[in-house]
Amino acid sequence: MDSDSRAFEVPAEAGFSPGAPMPCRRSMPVATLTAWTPAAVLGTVVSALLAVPRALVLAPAVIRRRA
Amino acid sequence: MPELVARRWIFFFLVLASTAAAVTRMLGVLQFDGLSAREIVILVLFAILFAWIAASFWLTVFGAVARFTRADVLPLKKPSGISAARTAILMPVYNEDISRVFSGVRAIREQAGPDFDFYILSDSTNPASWVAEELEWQKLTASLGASNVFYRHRARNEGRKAGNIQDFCENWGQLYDYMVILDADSLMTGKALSELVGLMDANPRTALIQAPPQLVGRTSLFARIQQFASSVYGPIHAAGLAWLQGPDGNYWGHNAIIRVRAFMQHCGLPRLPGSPPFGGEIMSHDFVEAALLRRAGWEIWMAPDIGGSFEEPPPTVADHLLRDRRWCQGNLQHLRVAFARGLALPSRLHLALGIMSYAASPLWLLLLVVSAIEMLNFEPAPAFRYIGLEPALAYMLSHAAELGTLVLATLVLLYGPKLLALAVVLEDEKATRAHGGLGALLISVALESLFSTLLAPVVMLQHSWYVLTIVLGMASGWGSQARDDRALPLPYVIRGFLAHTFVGIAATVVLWKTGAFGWYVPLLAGLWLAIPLVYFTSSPLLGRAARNEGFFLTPPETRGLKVLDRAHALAAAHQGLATDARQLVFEDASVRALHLSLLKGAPAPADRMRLWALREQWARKDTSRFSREDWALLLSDPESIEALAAP
Repeated sequence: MDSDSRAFEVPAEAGFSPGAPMPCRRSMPVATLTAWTPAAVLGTVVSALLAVPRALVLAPAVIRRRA
Repeated sequence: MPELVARRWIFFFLVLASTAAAVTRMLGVLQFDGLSAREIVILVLFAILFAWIAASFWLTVFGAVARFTRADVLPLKKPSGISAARTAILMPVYNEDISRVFSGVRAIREQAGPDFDFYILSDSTNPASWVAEELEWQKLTASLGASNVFYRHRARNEGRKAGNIQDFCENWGQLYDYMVILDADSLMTGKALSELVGLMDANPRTALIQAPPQLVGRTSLFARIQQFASSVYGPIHAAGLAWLQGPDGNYWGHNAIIRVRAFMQHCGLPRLPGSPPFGGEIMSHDFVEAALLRRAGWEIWMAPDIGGSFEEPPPTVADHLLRDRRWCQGNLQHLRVAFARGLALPSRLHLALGIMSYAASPLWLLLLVVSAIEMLNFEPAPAFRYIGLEPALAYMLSHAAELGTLVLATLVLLYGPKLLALAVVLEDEKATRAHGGLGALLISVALESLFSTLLAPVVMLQHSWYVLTIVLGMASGWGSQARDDRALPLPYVIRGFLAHTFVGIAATVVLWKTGAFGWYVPLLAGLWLAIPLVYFTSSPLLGRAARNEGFFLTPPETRGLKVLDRAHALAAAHQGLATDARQLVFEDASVRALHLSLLKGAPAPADRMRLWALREQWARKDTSRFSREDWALLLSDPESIEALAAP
C-alpha cells in the first residue's frame, strides 16, 4: 500500500523553487517577421509600378503569341 | 462567411463614400481660384483625417445596428458540459502596488475556484517590491490553503511583459491548455473565466478570445469620466468591432484567453533590427502576437457580450498621457511590422489603425497650422476692378454654405457615436437606471462631451510631441504606471501643461486678426484651460462629489460588483510592511528561509567581483549608498545572503 501511494508522490527535486511547479521546459521558436525597411518599401512600390503595366500591356501579347 | 464579407464591403463603401463627398465639397471651396500647394496639402490632410473619423463613426453605427437587431457578434459554438482543460491565470507584475496585485488575485481566485492555477509572474526590479511580493504570496497561499497559486520572480526583465509571458510558456506552458493573461489592475469574474474556457473547448480553431475590459474602480473625477464613457460608449464600439472583424480579431494584451499550444508555436517574438525606438524588442507585443496567430490560420475573436472583464483607468490626465507615451512608441514601432510578409490584411489594418491613433494628432496639428497660414495669407478680391477703362464690380463668392455643411458633417462624425451609444442605453430601461436614471445620464453625457472636447487639443499637442520625439529617435522606457487616486500637486500640473497654455495663447494672438477666429475657439479653449482642466479632474474629492450628485455613474457602482467590491475591501484592509522588506531578508530567519527557497533554481549572479565589493561595504555598515541594482544583486545570491545574515 505504501509503495502504491509513493508512486503518486510529486518528485521532489532540491534545485527547484517551491513557488512554482517543476518546469517542463520547451523553447518557443522565434517567429520570422521580415521587418520593414525604407528600401523594402521603395522596392515594393517600384516593382508594383513595373508589374502593373507589364500585366496590362504584356499579358495580351503573350496570349496572342500562344494563339 | 459571406455575411461578414458583405458587412466589410458596406463598411468600406460608407467610409469611402462619406469621405469622397466631404473631399469633393472641400475641393469646391478651395479651387475657386485654382489650387495652390498649400491648398493641396490641406485637401490631402483633410481627406486622411476625415476618413479616419468617418471610419470610427461608421464602426459605431455598425455596433448600434448590431445592438438594435440583437445580432450575434460572436458566432462561435456555445460551450457544452464541464471542461477538462487546464487553465493558468497569469498576472505579470512589474514594481506594482503589492496590495492591489494580491487583492485582485485573491478576489478572482475566490470567484474562479480551485480549478484555475494562478501564476504571479514578477519582473519587479525594485528589491523592496520583490521581497514584499514573496511575503504577500506566502500570506495569500496560507490564508487560501491553496497549493495552486504560484509565484515566480525573474532577476532580469528580458523582453518586458512579452518576455515574462514567454518565460512562463517555456517553463510551464506544456502543462496547460489555455492561459488567461491579466494586467496588474485587471479583474475578471469566475463566470467570465469559465465561459471563456468553455468557448475555447467548443471551438478548437480559436487561438484567442479577447474579453473587452470595462473601466471600473477609481474615484478621481477624470477616472470617473473615463469609466462612464467606457460603460456608455464602449459596448457599441466593441460590438461594431466584433461584428466587422469576425475571426480576424485583435489582442489587447490582457483580459484574454489564449490557447497555449498555438501561442507557443507562433508567438516567439523576434527582435527588430536596429536600435530603439523603432528597433529592438517589440514593445506593443499584443497586436503582433495576434497578427502572427492569424498568419498561422488560427482564429481570434472578441467577446463583447461576455461581461465580467474589468480594468482600472489611469487616475489623472497626466498619468493617461504618460501611458500614451509608451503606447505611442509601441504603436509607431509597428510601422516596421505592418508590411511584414504573410500577414493577413485585417491584421495589417489593426496595426495601421494603432499607428494612426497616434499619427492622427500631428496630422490634425499640421492641418490646423496650414489652414491658419492660408487664412492669414488670404487676400479678399477688391471691391471693383477695371476691364480696360471700364470699372467692374467684383463677383463675390461665399463658401459659407459648403463650409457650414463640412463643419456639420464633422460634428456628426465626432458626436454621432456618443448619441448612438446613448440611444442604445436609453432603449434598455435597466441600463438607464444603472447609469443614474434619464436625467443624470443625459447630463453626464453632456458633461463628458464637453470634457472630451476641451481635452482633445491638449491630447493632440501631447501626442504630436510624442510622435516628433519618437521619430527623432528618442526612446522612452516601459516603466510601471501610477494607478493610485491622488490629487496632483498644482506646481506639477503647471510644469506639465504650461506649454499647452502658451501654445493656446500664442495661437489666439496669431488668429485674432483673421476673420475665422471664432472657428478656432473650441480648440483654443481646451489649451487655455489645460492647467485647471488637468488639476481639477485629478481630484478624488470632486470625483466623489460627482458620484454623490449622481453623475458619471456606472452599473458596477449602482448594482454592485462582487469581485470589485471584494478586491477593494481586501486592498483597504491590507497592512503594508512596517520595515524595509530588503533588510528583513538579512534580519528575519523566516523571511530569509522563504526568500532562499524561492531562489532555488534561479541562476546565481555572474558578477562575483561586484558581490564581494558589496559584502565588504556591508561589513563596514556602509549600505546607505547601495543602489537598487546593488540590493537586487545581493538578494539574488544565496551565498551572500547566508554570509551577511544576522546571527
